[in-house]
Amino acid sequence: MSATTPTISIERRSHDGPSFMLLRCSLGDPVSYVSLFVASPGLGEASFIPINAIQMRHTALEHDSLVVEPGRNASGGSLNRDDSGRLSGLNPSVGSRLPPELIITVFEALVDPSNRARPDSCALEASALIRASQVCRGWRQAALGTPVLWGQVIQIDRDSPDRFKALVDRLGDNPFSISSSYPVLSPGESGTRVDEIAAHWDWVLTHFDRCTSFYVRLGNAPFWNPNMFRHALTRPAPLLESFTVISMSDFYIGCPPFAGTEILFASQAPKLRTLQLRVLSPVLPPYLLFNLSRHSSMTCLVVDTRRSPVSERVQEELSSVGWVRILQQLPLLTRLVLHAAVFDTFGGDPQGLGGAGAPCQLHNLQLFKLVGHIHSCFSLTRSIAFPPSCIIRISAVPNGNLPTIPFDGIFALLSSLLGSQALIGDSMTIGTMEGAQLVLDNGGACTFEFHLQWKPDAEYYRFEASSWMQFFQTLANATRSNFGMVLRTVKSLTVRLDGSSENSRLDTSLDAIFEHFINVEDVHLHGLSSSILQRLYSHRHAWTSQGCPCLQYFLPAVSRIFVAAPAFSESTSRIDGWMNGYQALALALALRAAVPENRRVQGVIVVNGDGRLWDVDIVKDAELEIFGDYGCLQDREIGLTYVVTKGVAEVYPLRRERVVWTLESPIAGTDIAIENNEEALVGRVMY
Amino acid sequence: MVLLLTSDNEMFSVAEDVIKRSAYIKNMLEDVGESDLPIPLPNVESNVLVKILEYCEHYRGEPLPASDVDPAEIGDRSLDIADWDQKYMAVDQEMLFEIILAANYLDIKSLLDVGCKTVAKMMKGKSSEEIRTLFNIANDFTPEEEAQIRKENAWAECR
Repeated sequence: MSATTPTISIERRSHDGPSFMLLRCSLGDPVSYVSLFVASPGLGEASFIPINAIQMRHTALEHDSLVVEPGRNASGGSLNRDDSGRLSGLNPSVGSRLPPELIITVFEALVDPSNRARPDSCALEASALIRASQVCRGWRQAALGTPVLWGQVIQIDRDSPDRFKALVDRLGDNPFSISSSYPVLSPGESGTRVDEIAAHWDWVLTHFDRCTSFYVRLGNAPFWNPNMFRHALTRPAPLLESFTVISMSDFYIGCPPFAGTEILFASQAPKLRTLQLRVLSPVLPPYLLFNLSRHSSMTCLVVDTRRSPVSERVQEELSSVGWVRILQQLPLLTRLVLHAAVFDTFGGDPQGLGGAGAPCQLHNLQLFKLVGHIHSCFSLTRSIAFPPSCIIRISAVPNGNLPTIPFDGIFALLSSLLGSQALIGDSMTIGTMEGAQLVLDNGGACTFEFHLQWKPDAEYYRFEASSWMQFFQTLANATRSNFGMVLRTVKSLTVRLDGSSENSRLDTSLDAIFEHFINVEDVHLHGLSSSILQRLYSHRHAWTSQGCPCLQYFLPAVSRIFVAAPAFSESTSRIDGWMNGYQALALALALRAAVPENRRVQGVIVVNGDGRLWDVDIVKDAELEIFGDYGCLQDREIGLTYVVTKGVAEVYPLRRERVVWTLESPIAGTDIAIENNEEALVGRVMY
Repeated sequence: MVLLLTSDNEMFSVAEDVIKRSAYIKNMLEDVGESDLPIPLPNVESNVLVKILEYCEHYRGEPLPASDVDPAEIGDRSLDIADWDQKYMAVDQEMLFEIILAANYLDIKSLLDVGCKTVAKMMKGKSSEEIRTLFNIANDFTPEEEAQIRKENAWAECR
């Protein structure tokens, strides 16, 4: 900003009333505010008019004029509006003009939990409210005189136990919401501070009946007394609207078990809208969910019971049939996420799963995410009638406690499911990243995601070429039936193939699948290994006028090809790896050459900037200069097609939300993990 | 059409379905019935009313929020302000506060909500002194109160 030198002239005016001094300030550039201290001559002694006695209008600033009227005394009484018009009118300072009730409304917006970037970070709102209460006496009176405001920012923080006490004091006897990440103790940290934090939790749990919202993410150590927590969980919660506990830790394993007869909130939480339980037994055993149907006003239900011991009774009550019974009593649900919470009771022919009887109607559902065994996934999914705009995400494990369902059966079921739900999308992703996945998307209004995981043992997922082959072979077989109809509606196809596999062994299956994509206009190639590009390249060279299989044959309507960061094949040196990478790119570009006949391809878009393309922490700058970047291909004409490079964010603005959904810990460089990923997706779609 | 008379004696003729976003006017029309007499708005100047009517016109035809709905259920409590509303609120501070006051007087809840959110957004991340400067507010605390606040600041900020 350029420096300005205001010029000021002063004149005295009188309009049959109090006299005014008119300061004309030529300010030069527009300003947002002016601090002005004015000596007031003629009042007997030189003194300063406080800033609140100098009243300005922005319009006056635009007219290069500030008007100042001394108050009745030099210490600054309020100034009166001049009747003669805006130029000479004196307005009170803008911040002082709002009456207390509107100041409180502003404060309410300031501390509203729904404004938080993360639900467990209310510390910023607490600080903002505290600072607002220190602005002036009026604002302080408004803030301290409205205890309910302080109930929004209660937080148990290992660094600020004093703040907790102060906030509780300001809260009085009013309702409160608690939002806290369980403090993570440093090694060796113990003693008074730990006792203090534990005492604060005791206060919260003792006053749980006053709690309107409870959001806690557990850390690495138990601070609360599990018996007190259980007591709170099983007593009426008349004010509770939202209850969330997230824990991937098992530090409570070994504490005394529940009796097995308790009921969550004694079925008396009439205001409960949101229930998110991602917590291990025995802090919250699955049987507490048996009476969920009593909470009929619920709109959001998220349950994750991974690694919880499951009794026969739980398996029966929380089977797909049991869940249908529960869900029928929760007609207002907009969001339903069940992770390892639907238990298998069926071990027979998968073709017979679900679909019996009238489907459960959930007219308001906007997100349905189900992670579990293939039996329960299909059984429950087929038992629900989804509204057209619902996002459906299914992540299935074929080999759970029950005998593994052959892949053949899975796709037959999937085909049947898509047909029964009338699910259709113009965008599809198929791939082998993080398991096998199939995503149907229809402009964001309808999303169906199917993710098939396989884990050879109880703990770890392992991706093998043989499994992928089986996946694609099965998919290829399925396309021969009505599943092929689904593929033929697709206009945007994304192929995600993990670069570390021997994808060339998928040739036959891919050919059989690809031949159904006759309406694809955009094809996105992700994570392609050089081996599969080699295969596509070989198609290009095998092309003859007689119509040998090639991409043109498989994708006759394609007009744009997106190539994302080809993965480099294994090599003995990094330099060789890069070379292979460039070879891969060159082969990818051959895709364009594979469709020259009708000249319809408008361009090849190389998607760069992934962050994983170069290991720049190891590579020397000089080496990078040698090989440059894909940017060197910018606007390069190859044949009749232009090659352009674009960044990931430009081509896939929603990529982060779509990629990380199987991760359980924050992805490097982001704050996204599985817990909030679906929130991000829903936020994008719903708001 | 409804006639509105502002504090600076300007008359506005406004379509009924536009101005009915104001619960104050809506109730008055329902209570008084049709009348040729203008409704005086002694707390609203003409330049502010023009701005208010711009908002009402933009949302013309959209359903009015039910007065008995729990705000928590409306689902729009976020400081994320809609694009159009953000542009609408891109005014000088004087006008911003005038809009809030007028929205409060005319009982246009959605506009009041947007206005207060805008002010809250301006305050976020600012110190008390910065807020005072921003809104031109005098520090009128007594020395004793200042001392109390200094003590408060020992625990006030999140670390």
